[in-house]
Amino acid sequence: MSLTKVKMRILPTLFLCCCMPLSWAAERHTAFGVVLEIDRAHLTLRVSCHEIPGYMDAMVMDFPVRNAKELDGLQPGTLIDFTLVVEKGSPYAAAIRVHQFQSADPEPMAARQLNLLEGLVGPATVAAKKLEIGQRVPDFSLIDQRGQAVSLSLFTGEVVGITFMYTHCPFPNYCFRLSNNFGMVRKRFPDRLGRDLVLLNITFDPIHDQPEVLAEYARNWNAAGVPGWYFLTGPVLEVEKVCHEFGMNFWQDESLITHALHTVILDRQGKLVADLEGNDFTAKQLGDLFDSVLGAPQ
Amino acid sequence: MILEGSNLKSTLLCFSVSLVLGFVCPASSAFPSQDSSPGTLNLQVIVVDSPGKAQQILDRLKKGEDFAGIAKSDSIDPSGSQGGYIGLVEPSTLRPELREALKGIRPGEITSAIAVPSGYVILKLLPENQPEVAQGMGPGQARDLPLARQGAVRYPADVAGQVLADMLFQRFPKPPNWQQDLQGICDIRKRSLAAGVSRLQELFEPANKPRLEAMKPFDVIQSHYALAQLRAYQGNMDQAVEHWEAAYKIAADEIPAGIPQLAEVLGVAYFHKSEMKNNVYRNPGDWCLFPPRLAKPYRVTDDSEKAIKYFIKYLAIKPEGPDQLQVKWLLNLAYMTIGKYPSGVPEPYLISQSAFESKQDIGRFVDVAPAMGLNFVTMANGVIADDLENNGLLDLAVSGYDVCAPLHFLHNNADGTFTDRAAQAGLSDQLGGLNMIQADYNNDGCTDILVLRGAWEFPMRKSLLRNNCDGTFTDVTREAGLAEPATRTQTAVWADIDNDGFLDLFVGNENGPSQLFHNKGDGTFEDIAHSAGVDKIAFTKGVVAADYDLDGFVDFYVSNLYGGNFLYHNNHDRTFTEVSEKAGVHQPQSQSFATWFFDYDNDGWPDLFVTSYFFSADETLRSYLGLPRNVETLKLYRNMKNGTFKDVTAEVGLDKINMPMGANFGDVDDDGFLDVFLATGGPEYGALVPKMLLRNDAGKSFVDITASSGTGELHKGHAVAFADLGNNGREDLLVSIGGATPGDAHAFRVFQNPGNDNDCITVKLVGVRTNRSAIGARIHLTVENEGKPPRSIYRTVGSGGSFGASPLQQHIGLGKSAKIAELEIWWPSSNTKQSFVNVGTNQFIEIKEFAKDYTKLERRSFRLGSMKSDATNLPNLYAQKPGANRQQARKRIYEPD
Repeated sequence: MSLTKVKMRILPTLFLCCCMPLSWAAERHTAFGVVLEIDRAHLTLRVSCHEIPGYMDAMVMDFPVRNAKELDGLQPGTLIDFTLVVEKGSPYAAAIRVHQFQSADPEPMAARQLNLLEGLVGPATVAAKKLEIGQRVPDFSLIDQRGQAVSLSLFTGEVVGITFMYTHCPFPNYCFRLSNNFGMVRKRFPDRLGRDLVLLNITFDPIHDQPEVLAEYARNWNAAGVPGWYFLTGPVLEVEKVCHEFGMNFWQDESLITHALHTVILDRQGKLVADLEGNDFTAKQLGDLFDSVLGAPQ
Repeated sequence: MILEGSNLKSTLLCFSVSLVLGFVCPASSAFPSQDSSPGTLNLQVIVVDSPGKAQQILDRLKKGEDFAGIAKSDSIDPSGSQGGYIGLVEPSTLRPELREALKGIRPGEITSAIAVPSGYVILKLLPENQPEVAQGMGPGQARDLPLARQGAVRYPADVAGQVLADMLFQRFPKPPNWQQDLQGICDIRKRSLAAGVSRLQELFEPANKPRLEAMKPFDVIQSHYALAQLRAYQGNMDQAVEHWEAAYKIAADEIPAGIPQLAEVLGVAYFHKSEMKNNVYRNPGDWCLFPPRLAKPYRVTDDSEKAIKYFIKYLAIKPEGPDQLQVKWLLNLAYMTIGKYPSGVPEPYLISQSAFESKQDIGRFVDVAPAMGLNFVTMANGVIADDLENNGLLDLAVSGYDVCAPLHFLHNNADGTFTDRAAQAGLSDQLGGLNMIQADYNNDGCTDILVLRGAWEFPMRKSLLRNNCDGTFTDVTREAGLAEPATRTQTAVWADIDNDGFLDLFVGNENGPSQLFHNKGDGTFEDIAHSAGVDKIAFTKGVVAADYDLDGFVDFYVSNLYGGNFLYHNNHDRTFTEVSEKAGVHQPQSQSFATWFFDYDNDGWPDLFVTSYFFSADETLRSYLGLPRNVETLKLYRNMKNGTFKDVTAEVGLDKINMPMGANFGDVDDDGFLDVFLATGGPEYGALVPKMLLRNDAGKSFVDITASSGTGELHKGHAVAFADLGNNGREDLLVSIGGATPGDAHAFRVFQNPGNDNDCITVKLVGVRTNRSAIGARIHLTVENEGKPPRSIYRTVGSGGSFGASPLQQHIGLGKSAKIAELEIWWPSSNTKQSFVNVGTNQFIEIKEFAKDYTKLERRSFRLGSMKSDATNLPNLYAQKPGANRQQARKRIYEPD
């Protein structure tokens, strides 16, 4: 599906009421969003935009770009910083930069240091295992919060979201936030979940996070028995293998675990189509991405 | 008006986009609403970080501005992006301040601003069926938001580096079965650390300049930060601050968001550097005590001045933020090191020491470790104080968290000094071990040692060190059946589960099942944890034993870092039933750590004490200052004599946060009621809080006497033992000080008891049918004080709490002018009692099971410390008139050098 050709019309009255200069000078806004689709042929980009306070709410928008190079390196799920330019009533995206997850908070900083140092001292075994966008995800089998085996291959033909957590993570902005994003996705797609949408929360503390512990955790979202939402644990080596396939590195820090943050989406063919690193995106943006993948032609 | 316009603008923009493209605006009605149950509240919230902002927002709301709009633009709560809708909430999950503020609020109304630890909260109560509820985050019980009863905790800045050092260890190639090889583990630690440091250093060599320039500034910051951490881990603070300074400079130029964290880190790093430079970790004296005794500056203060500069920088960036307290506190301590606390601290940042003052005074303790030859400098330690040479003198065994540190075996020279005889005792190849316990497991009359290893890190083997009764020990771990599997542990307890006269061993492990080793009586053990029903997987930090229901069989309590605790009731057939919920002792739900059974109110029934280790200096400070807290307190459970316990924590004044790791109990004022010492702290160099001495006031309350007793050492504490080292009738406090990294190694502390007017007795029990150490035997004294009605004092033989081991002989305070009308012993294996009347006080006695009489023990007593002829020696209390020592102790002026 190619994107609808976009021409944005802003009502002139809008500018008037906002006391904008009475000219067609370009209006520029710093914007942040999650890429949903890229249409190279039409030099267009569909983005789930973060709100721009005082200017617009969060919403999905299509933007032309003026230069094909702007689209290089972008994939669905890429977080981007860009300039939203409105010129003569038409918006376009310029100065697009991939938004690297660079949190200055202590936990992500520690994870970044561990990652760097690990890369310096050892064979890059972890990085080597990471799947690329577009690659088919190898099947895996884990145990869910009901104690039942769950294999990825069960969900062929469905869109699969995966995020990673451990239940006693004490920081609300990391594991809990990512799990909570899934809680919001579930609310947004109640008729799809369990039908052609599946959510998997995989623990990277499988020794502690046994099925009954995960069932308790799932109750935060009244999700212990929800069809289509699985909280998974399993043998340590199997869990590590799955985590590393998605670049999900983690390190023991006494009783806690310092870890990367990833949320990934697999399409109906079981291919990795999006990898959102970090926690900068909103549940709505994630939902828009699911919406886009769910609506993609089969 | 402008704001109105802006709203209009976004609405119109959205409208036009939808119109043209058919896109959907952020939906508000598409989501199904959740089921609501009676009593739930439908809430919307705004959280801001200052009272000023909160007031502005209240004014805006008053003028009719939209709550959701303000939440989106101004709220620091994660719900802000969803208009502050948090959904249906059980009132019981809310913080008490919020519950209170919501009283009388009707749907549609707004509360005033409510101060919580992480900011200022404004709540709006919505009608229960309002559709916006569907946008909420959901009524999660475990939600760590500012509203939740258990909020987000502010942890100290990470300056210590052990997570990096541990990663290097984990990734280093290892031979098979390395977990059994103590020397090999030490080698891996050294080599892996050196490799990590050198890889990072190479990055900053001139040849690698192009590589460094190609890196993103954020990653260059992280590389400097990582190297600084490893240097801090090693204690090389010069190089650590050099790299943090470099990281700070890049942040200032490129990534301003990184400045606050780096400012705090640099403040902590310079503070630590200053302490190192001034040698206070090796010669702590009064330097590291809070409140400070003297307003005396360090010899060299330039690094402290730099620490102050960075802390003030942090506070200037976050002038009103809720994260301030931790940094304010460190700023006050930094001023202390330049001799300007409290007078020189800028007024807005001053933390008054009045919050730390003691309401009672039993005299000032003085650290006599240097004069005793016990001021060895080590990382975190395990400590046993007991008669390990069977000569009537208390010796010490001290193990270390440093995997390269050999066990100290400290022979008591009977002159107030100790000599390390590890080599002669055959113990110098015993490396590492965060905790130890002692018992005569083979009933040969000599006390054996068990070293526990692997806590916080990786599985390592334990060591069972059999006492050969000739001053030497033999490592019998493997033949005893305790070597495999290696586990991560720092807690175990000896107890005879089936009363067969041989001590069994319960080992609590981190992230694994516990082990219960049944002693077969022939020097070997068998793990029966599974058949006994005690092999639940948990992150166990404490195990203790007592017959809490007095049914003649010992039970276990297991404290876990998360998921709540276990009480295993003994079914009398080598199986156990977990009854913690039923008995009311499942909490704290998180961070349970050191624990013990003791009879704090002398009613004859074992009560239960369990600490909570939220490693947040911020939370601890909140407790001192009376501010709302985010986390669970420690628990004191009173035995209700019917198989259940009552939470009396608040009733006895213990509902505070104090981040203890090691902790123990004893009777420092000899009034017959057991006091508590908490060895507080955390692995980060900025996690500085005073240790805590809590006096048990007649079994009714616990009174903080840290300040008056001079025991508020600020550095990391671990194992604690209460022991009368000089055989002079007063229990001294043996406290392992030192952290989790070589850069945080500290001198051991022995706080000498200042003495008091009370009487006491020391009772050593020898089992015959009961295990020879008499562990689990109960002592009941009927005591008369100065014509008052007789009262009971109860003790059970054991080494005390779960982190630190006091002598098995029981030192028992009796109060003033005491007469022991009756001394009764109950022996568990034989289920027999012995009774002795009119026993003399202020003596050492030995009682053998079944014996008709007790034996008076001749114990040589002596003053502590003669290595240096300084004023730290105290006279023998048994030989002195009551009160003399205390006056002397008070007259002493102890000046740090």
